[in-house]
Amino acid sequence: MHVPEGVLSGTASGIAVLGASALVAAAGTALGLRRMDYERVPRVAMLSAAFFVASLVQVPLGPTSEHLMLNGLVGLVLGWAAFPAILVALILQSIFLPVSSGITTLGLNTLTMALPAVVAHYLFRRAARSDRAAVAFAAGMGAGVVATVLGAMLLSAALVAVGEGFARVSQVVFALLVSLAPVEGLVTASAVLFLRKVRPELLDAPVWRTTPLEVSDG
Amino acid sequence: MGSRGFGVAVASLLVWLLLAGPAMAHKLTVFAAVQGTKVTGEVYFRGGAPVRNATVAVLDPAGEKLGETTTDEEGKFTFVPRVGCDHRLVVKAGEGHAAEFTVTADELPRGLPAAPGTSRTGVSPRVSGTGVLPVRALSPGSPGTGETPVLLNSRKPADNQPTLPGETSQGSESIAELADRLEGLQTQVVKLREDLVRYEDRVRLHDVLGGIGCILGFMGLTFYFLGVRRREKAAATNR
Repeated sequence: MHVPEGVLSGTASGIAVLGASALVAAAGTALGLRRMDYERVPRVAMLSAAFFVASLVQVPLGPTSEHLMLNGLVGLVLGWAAFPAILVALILQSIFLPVSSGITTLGLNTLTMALPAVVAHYLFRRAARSDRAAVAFAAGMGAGVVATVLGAMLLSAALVAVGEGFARVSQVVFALLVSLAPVEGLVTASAVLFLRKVRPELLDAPVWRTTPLEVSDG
Repeated sequence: MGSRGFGVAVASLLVWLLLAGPAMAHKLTVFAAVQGTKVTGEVYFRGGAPVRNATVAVLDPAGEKLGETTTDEEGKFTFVPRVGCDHRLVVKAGEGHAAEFTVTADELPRGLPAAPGTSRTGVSPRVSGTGVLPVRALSPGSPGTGETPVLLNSRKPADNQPTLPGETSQGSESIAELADRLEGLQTQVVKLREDLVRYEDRVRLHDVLGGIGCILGFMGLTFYFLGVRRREKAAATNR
């Protein structure tokens, strides 16, 4: 998912794309920070940590493998605060982990992951608060899939905007990321179900009184 | 957040960490080293999968293209350097992946023309049998290790010259032996450097923990500043 350092910074249009996306990412981060009040700080930190670590989980996809992003989950829980959470995680990834994100591509990478997260938040947060487990599961699934596909679209658009030479490359990227979407969806859906059971307030959801998924022994 | 919630968070993070053990991102890595008169190298994804048919562009320090070569089925490539300057190897393998490695000038065999701007630089350094063989013929017994001829010329002949002709042939045998051993040693050093590069690529637990620690630290800082603002607000309303 990450655009590595040096791929885009070579050309003028590449620098323009990087600059523009950095500005948008900065705006999103500012908005996210303004909406982050005292009570929400720990959950932002927690989701940021989860996002940071999720990049180490490799999903084998054909010849290569892609790492999990979990930006759907981050968005579902955090909303606009997904921007600062993902930005911090990406900075730390570029320092600590050999995930190929760099400082110049930080803005673009933040944008392509955090913006879909916010979209997923507004599309699926209500469904994720549903009392019915199946609906909550589907909401998680949807958030994971939408966030991944949308991220892939943004990334491909950025690569296409840089020049014709990247068009074929971005098709490959797009196909690869879209094939990751079901995995993201499943992981996000199970995470949502898990949160609904253990910590429903993370999703601003009421406590589940009935446990719909429990199978009776009778 | 209650202590139970925190416990759950820590537990799930630990599960992730356990999964994370062998995992590596699919970033590209280029590694190259001088072996004899050739530069041999490898292009691989994190985790060791070779990158096949990738184009390796060879640039001089100014960014001028010296030539290019392609990786084989095992992700390996070879070329013969013709210029004695730093060689920047740049690989672009699609999907937005790129990697770079520099072979410095002092690693290269001695005696290459130092000026990168000479008219001969247009020659592509693609591996060619004709490029290697003449050099080998010049230094008998040693398959073209860059430094051995210098070593041999400076030391051994001085020892051998006063002795009988019969012993000279024996001496040249031991020279060949020495060259052989030196080559073996060089291969080992290259292996070692390769291992080092791979080691640095690996995700290590302390890096992951360091990152999480940083995030917790940021959380603490945010709490502090939000708390200060809260207290100021409370003080203002009390007045």
